[in-house]
Amino acid sequence: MKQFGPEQWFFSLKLFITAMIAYAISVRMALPQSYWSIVTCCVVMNPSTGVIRSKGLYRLTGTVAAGVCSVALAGMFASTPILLIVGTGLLATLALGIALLDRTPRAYGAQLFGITLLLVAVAGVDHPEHMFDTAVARVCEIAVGIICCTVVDSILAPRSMKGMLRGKLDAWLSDVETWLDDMLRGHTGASERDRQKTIADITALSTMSRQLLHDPMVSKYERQGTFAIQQRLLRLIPLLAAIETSLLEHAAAMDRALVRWLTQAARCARNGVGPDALARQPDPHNVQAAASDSHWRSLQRASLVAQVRDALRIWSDIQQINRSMLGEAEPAPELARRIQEARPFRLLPDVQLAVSVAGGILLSYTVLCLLWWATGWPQGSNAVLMGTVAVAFFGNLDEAGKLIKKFGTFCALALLIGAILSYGLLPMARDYPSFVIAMAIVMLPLGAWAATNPLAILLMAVSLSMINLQQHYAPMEFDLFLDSVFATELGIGVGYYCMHIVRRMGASHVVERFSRMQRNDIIELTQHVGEHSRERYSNRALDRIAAVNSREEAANKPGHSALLFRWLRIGVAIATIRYTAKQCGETVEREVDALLSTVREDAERGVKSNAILTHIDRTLSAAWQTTQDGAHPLLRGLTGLRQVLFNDAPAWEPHHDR
Amino acid sequence: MIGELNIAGIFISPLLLCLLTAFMVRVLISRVLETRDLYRYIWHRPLFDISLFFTAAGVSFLLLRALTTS
Repeated sequence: MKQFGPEQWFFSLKLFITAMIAYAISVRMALPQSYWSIVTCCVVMNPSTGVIRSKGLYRLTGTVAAGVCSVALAGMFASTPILLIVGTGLLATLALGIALLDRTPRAYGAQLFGITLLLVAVAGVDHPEHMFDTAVARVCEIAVGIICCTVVDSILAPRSMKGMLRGKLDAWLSDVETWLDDMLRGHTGASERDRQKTIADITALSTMSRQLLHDPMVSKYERQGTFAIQQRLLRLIPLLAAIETSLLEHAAAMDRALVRWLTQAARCARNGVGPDALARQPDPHNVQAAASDSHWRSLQRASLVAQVRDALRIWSDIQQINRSMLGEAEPAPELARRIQEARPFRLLPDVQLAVSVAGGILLSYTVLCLLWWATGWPQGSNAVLMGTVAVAFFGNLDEAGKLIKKFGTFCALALLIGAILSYGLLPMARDYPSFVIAMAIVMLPLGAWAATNPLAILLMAVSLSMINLQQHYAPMEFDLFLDSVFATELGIGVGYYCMHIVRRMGASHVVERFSRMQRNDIIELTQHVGEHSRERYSNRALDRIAAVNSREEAANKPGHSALLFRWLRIGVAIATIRYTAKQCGETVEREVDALLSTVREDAERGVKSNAILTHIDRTLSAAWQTTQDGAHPLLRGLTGLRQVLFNDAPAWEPHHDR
Repeated sequence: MIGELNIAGIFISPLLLCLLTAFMVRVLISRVLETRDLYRYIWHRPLFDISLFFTAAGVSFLLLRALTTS
């Protein structure tokens, strides 16, 4: 038997109190389906205040919008039920598809829109005249549930995300500081895998951005500051990886001036001071220019120095923001303005997956509606609802099939609990106190479980939806109950098979798809680059790296995220080259075109030919004739590309024969 | 007793209107308090916000009653 701690029991008690108050209010307001208020409490209640408020808001918005739409659909197609079913199916699929595109908690609003539409319009297709009343009742009951959750949570130990946020920030800053310090002092730090876990954690903050917005104990400045730090950390990480590669290459031939300069840079990083403090030091680039280093080494060194300076600038900004969040110092006015403008890292939608799953939703809906139409089965609408919910809630996950199966098992358990409650406990309740005791026997343990397992929330919601709990409890006829049990399981079963028809499951498939997307992005960068293309590409790539990192083990592809991380650097270098080549004259632009066409051809064929190296060297020579400043973005981009792709190639020397 | 509000033929409970008004008033006051950094004087922000909401709901209900019965 699973042991629950005091926190879980407290959460469960809070949920139970809320549900009982919501039920009492619903009954007092004479609302027809009072159990909807209880179900809302089960779904909305969460240990965190921010989650309760954001979920409540999106649930209410989705329900109200769906109520209006179903009444409008009923008005248009009341006399042609077939059109009502088709219109509802298409609209619900669209809403559930949009929910799959949005990776923030806002998606819940679109999900609720789709589900409410099915609940009101599909279930009420035989009696469109009742649809308005059903929609109003559902909106009112859900509003009662949400208000009760918000009020009880505000009074009974509200829990902010502030502490968790601070903990995360401290952990990230400490990880990145150690990485920076170890690297600049020539030590080997954490493994690449640990770093990629940090990236995944940093990008994951975006999923909480909406909840932070509704957490009353997180101030706007703290929220903005966190997003500003997230932005900068994600910009800093690829830079640190590039510096690390350059330092590894330089390790054998590092002169004293460079070592001293790097030690000073490490000191600046520890103190959170920007690169301006380093400008007074002898520039190692100039020191070595007089020495007998090759041109290639001089380029590498200049690029390294520029990268370290960039990294220090970003790191100093991060430290300033963090200090201002802790109330230790005021940020500079320009930085304060940029903090106010900061936005969370945008989690990009997976359009391909969303389209497949939306196809699955539509297929499942169509099959179940046809079955309903062919048999005239009264529980057909229930099967349609459960099949659609199963696909919409779990269809986008890697192991969607397994999870839909698990959902089916949980629903079976929920129906068993519903039966115990319906035919065992509730008939014994004679008044409100005995009703509360009967509900407590079931809700308290399930609530404690729901504190840690999201599927337990669904279990509770499904079991409470089955008990026909209204103002006066009258158990459902047993044959009707069995019929609805069968409809639920049939719907989920059909959803399971439809999901298998529309998409391939498994982490390995997802990893392959992300790799393909990463390669396609690189191909696109070789053709068109705008002002913000580099940053957008870097964000997309980091998001994919984070996603692949969490799937490496399940996909049995160790080191794949490291490979994608290398591609990220290739993409960044290509974007820089393509963008800066425009300003370096016709000859350079021609060479860059030839280089990027070769990269594109190789990427399309999935190979890496030596022709790329030849083109990089020719482009370097052409660019060298235009500018001999190793810190120039074009030369930095070319140096970076050569370093990532041809680490062991002989040193480049400029050709003057052109 | 306040009767139901008739909006384009749809009868709406006055309580709903009061709650909506209270919600907007609460959001507005919270914004002002946050921009002026006045929340630092408040011990328990969620409790304060919820009290503000109910106070605003009560005031709007009284106002509506005064307006409709006068």
